[in-house]
Amino acid sequence: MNMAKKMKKIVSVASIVLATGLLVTAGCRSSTSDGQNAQADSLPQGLFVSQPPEGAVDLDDALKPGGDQVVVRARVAGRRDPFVAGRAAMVVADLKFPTCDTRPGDTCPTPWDFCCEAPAGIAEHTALVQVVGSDGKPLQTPLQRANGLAPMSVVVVKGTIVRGPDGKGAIINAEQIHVGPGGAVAVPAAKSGCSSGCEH
Amino acid sequence: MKLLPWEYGIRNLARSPSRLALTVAGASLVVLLVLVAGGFIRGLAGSLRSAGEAGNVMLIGAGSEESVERSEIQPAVATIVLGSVAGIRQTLDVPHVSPEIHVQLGVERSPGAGALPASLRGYTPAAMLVHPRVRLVEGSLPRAGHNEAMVGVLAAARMGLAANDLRVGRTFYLDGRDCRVTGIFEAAGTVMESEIWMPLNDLLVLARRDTISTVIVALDSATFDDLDLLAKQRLDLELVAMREQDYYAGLSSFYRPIQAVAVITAGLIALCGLCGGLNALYAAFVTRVRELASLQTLGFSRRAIVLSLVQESTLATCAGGLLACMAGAWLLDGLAVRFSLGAFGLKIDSAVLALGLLSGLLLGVVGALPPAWRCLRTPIATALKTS
Repeated sequence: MNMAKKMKKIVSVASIVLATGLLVTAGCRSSTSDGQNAQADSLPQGLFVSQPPEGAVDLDDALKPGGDQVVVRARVAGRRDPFVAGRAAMVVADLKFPTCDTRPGDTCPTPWDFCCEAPAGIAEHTALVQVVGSDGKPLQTPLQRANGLAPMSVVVVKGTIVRGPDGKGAIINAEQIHVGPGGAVAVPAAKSGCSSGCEH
Repeated sequence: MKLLPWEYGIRNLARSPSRLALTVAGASLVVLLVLVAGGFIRGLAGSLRSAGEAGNVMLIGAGSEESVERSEIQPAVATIVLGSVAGIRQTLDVPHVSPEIHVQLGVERSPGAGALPASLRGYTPAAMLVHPRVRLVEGSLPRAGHNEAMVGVLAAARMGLAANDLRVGRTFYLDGRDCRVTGIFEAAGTVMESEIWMPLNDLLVLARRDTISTVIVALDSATFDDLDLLAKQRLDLELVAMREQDYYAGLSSFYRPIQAVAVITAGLIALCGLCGGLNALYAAFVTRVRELASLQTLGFSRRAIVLSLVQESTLATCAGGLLACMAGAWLLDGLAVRFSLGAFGLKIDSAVLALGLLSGLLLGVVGALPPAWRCLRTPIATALKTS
């Protein structure tokens, strides 16, 4: 009788533990998928386009004085972490500005941070691409991994440019983004560090 | 199993006082080395890892993420942050935004005495808001424009000087200019304790710099993303936002190989100590082979005899361990160690003391088993005939 009572108790405790575990797992899953939906929903419809907008120019050319509406071709690069974690913003660099992996023998795990170049030169070849809401502020959702965006992704961005007074620190408010095939690489967990010719 | 009486082992210990003293001293040395290694690792990790405040974000020059001393940013960044980011922590309407310069300069005790490497930080009063653990323990804060400085409690050790050389009222020389020590500060064992702090503008002049190293911002309702966004929106300023804790964690990981070397060295020395202990115990037990055989003839099992031998050696090594822990807590705790970033104190805390005591215990148990087994495997008849 005593044994039967004990067994009953064990079974009840096991059931409660199992049920709690299932609920927690389900909760985690639903929150993950909610998070993914939130990201997709927060970014404007039609932001990512399958065909690159026409008339794209290199970023360096777009940074020169000219019109406000631009279509630029660039690479997601310019900082070790080119994305802002909680904002729809990313740093892009001119395609002709050489990343560290173009140097022979360099094994830099984060070639997109231009650690092989003098820091002062990087600002002239980079710009921030952001997706703003109706209040003019960047949306509070990350661009990283959205539509496959990753460091080194080649993108064509159509939008409005706000140039810095000295030609540095331009901001492009994006209306359309085309993510090109290839070029994107996984972000390694390793720290940055150029194996040769590192400037900083 | 019939066990040997507890007193039997204790009386045996006293049979040879010189042997007992040697065993205790040997165990003390091994445990002391374990304490040094443990205190070194805890002290180094603690001084770096705990240096950053949880809600602080550093704005530093792009590409200088590994060393704030290489960073150069515009002094205007502090004002730009104040004008661009809402939700920065404030105290009595004073925002917690601290522009700072971090430099390594040669400091002389007297003109022409030879420069000693020192870590200097130029600060404004807001630094006391973003570094709440910095506490003036003696003297007063330095006044701007008066060539005055306050020094951390480990600054003298970092420079290889006696603490007296940098006490309040003393003068040191920076680039030929005299500089008076007006205060001593503590910083809860962090790496800041090895620094010399001067008013920002004074140090900018001395370092011949028109750029600062970092702006440290304490967040209230603002988030790290706000500052990260600002750093990336103002690419012309060539800034990177980093959580202060991440910065110091990065520095800490840089020194991990040194910590590993300390562990390996202590391990090797402990192994040597263990071998020495084994040798001593073997010598101690081998002279008692006849006695051990006699005990077997009296009906005591080999296991009981081994237990008694382990009891003897454990008592001796634990006594050594206790002595080492007392010496360690008294002599080693807080002992300054210099390293490239500054200085830190050996940290002999409860965890390190527990490790030391455990080492003493293990030394006694593990050290006694091989010689005991070696002595007891001899057949009783042969052992009884041994002279």
